[in-house]
Amino acid sequence: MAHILIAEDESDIMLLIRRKLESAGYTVTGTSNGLDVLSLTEEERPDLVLLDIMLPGREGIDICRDIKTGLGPDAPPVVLMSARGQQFDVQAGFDAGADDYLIKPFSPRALLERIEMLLLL
Amino acid sequence: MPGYESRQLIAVDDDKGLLRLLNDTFESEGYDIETFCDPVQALRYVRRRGLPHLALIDLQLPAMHGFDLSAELKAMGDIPIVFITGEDEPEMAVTGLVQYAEDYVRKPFNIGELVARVRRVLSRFADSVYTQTPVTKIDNWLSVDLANQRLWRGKQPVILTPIEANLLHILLRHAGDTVTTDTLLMRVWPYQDVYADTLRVHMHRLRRKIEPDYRRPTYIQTERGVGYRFRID
Repeated sequence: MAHILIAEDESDIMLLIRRKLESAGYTVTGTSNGLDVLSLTEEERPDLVLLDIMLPGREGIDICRDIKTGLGPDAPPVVLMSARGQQFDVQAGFDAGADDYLIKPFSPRALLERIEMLLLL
Repeated sequence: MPGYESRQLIAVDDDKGLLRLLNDTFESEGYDIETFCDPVQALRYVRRRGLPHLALIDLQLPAMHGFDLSAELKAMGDIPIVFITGEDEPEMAVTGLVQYAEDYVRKPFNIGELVARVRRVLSRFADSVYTQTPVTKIDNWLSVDLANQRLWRGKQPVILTPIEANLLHILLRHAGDTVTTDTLLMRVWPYQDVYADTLRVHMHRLRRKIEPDYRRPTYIQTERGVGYRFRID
């Protein structure tokens, strides 16, 4: 089953997402620090990265750009998560190379659907 | 090449309030949008006016399921589709979504999010004056009417299969540039194990339909080891 790296600094949300993904059969690695995400992605080679926009250390948008430019065609799909859901915010996420953008609060079903679609591609 | 904002969209949804919101929003963003409550009317419009750049489709239409409407549109050409899905739809058919759609939003959604998703989808597709007119006259020999899956070679009308219509649409959209074999396989047979030899057979059939002499193709040129290119003068 696919391996998903979650970067989320709010521990309650991290726990909820982790439980949901693990119960769906995914293997999960979690971090709360933005500075770890790129190196973890390079080292662990997850199948998908789920990335909060507001992280201590480095912002999710910048991390997304780092992953996409640093790993090039080997970069995994990146899903950004944010409470900011205006057109400008979503556009900025896509411009940074994000494969999808989830607006918080989102339902567990929305999360699983988006992940499943990206992993099918 | 025009910007995304001058592109033509159709939206099909039985919720008139939502259609008004889509119409006002996308118009104010500079898009040219036509809205329909009835999928049959939408299909008639496309057959009369030519292929849109993108279709927004509600999955739960009363007269026709969104997947069926998508299949009708996809038989005319490689039209990108974004689904609008109901909140309470019991089982999301993810495979159906990826088969037909580039993206989707689930009701209730933020209209700004939908605009950003539509922009992103359109940014992946080349634009061309060749595709969005009802009948495209390539030259005195060849005219193409993708929305009605036909063309005229000389004065003779010829029917296109959905695969041929899709191949021709993609090549016309990129007219003058080479489209790689991988791109054609991925767009025309998404998520299917189809190999380059199948593509060659369909391309051969398409050439037999459009070329004055298919053994010496003048419209569709092969770039060996790369792909195909629709010649423009």
